[in-house]
Amino acid sequence: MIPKGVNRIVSAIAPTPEMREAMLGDLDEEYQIRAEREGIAAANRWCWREAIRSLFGALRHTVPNLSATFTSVIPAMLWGSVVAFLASVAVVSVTYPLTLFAPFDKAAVVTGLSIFARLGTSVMGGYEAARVGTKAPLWSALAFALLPTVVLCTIAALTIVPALVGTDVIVSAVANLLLIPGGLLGGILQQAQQRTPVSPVS
Amino acid sequence: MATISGLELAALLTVARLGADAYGAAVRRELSEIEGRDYSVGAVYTTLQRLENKGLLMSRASEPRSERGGRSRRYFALTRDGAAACRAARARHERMWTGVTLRGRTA
Repeated sequence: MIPKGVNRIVSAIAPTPEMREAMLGDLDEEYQIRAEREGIAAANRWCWREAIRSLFGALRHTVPNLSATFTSVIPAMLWGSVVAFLASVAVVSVTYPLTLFAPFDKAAVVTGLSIFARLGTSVMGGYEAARVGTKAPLWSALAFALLPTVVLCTIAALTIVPALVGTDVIVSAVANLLLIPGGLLGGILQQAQQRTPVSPVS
Repeated sequence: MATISGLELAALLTVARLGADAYGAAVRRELSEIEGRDYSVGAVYTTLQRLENKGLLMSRASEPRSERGGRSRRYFALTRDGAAACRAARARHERMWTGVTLRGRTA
């Protein structure tokens, strides 16, 4: 059965009650097929992606003067951000406790982990953003990378720069700016994979 | 006669091609394959609903089906006006192509 959140989103965007039943039925039908073929987790991911795309797709086709590219990039950027955030939480929750027992300089370990985690999760986020933003995949990956970069750099400027801690400022700026090539790399990897011919799934 | 966009024309022709099997998911699959891009469920249903509002499509619900969580399918079919809109679009395209010879020039 499709996730409840997906059900709510689709119910909100369906033009009529009859269409809502048909849309939910279609999602349920394809969900079952994907769950059997690729597993429940993959089916859930597909379902959420479809709900977010449907939300903006419905918006675009309801309000024709909204730019198609804009409505493709925004959900892609948000989806990429959600994926990157969840991945960051997962990485930090696994690696941070290890640093507590590190026999060497903890600050260096935390900084290293932070840079590694930001680069890794930005590649994942960029990949996902490019996958969802099919109209403008690389713009989607770049938009995803710029959003957290601007937010993090602003926070760093407001909190670290006034304290004039030289090396911290540089490390933080480098770590945040890594999101841009990371996000773009993810988008490029997704595009490269997209263009590689694959044999059809039987 | 109601004006139709490129996506609306593609949706009408997809419904016509699928005939008795033209329900939402089948239309989405066929349309995505023909157009070469993956349309979302929301985009396809909004388009189908708009075509129905214009009187170019009509729809009916099937019996509830177990593989859809007890929900029914919604089958679409062209109305007389829908078929006329498709013919008019074809005639317009044929007029546009009349006398056209494409020769690419190098700069």
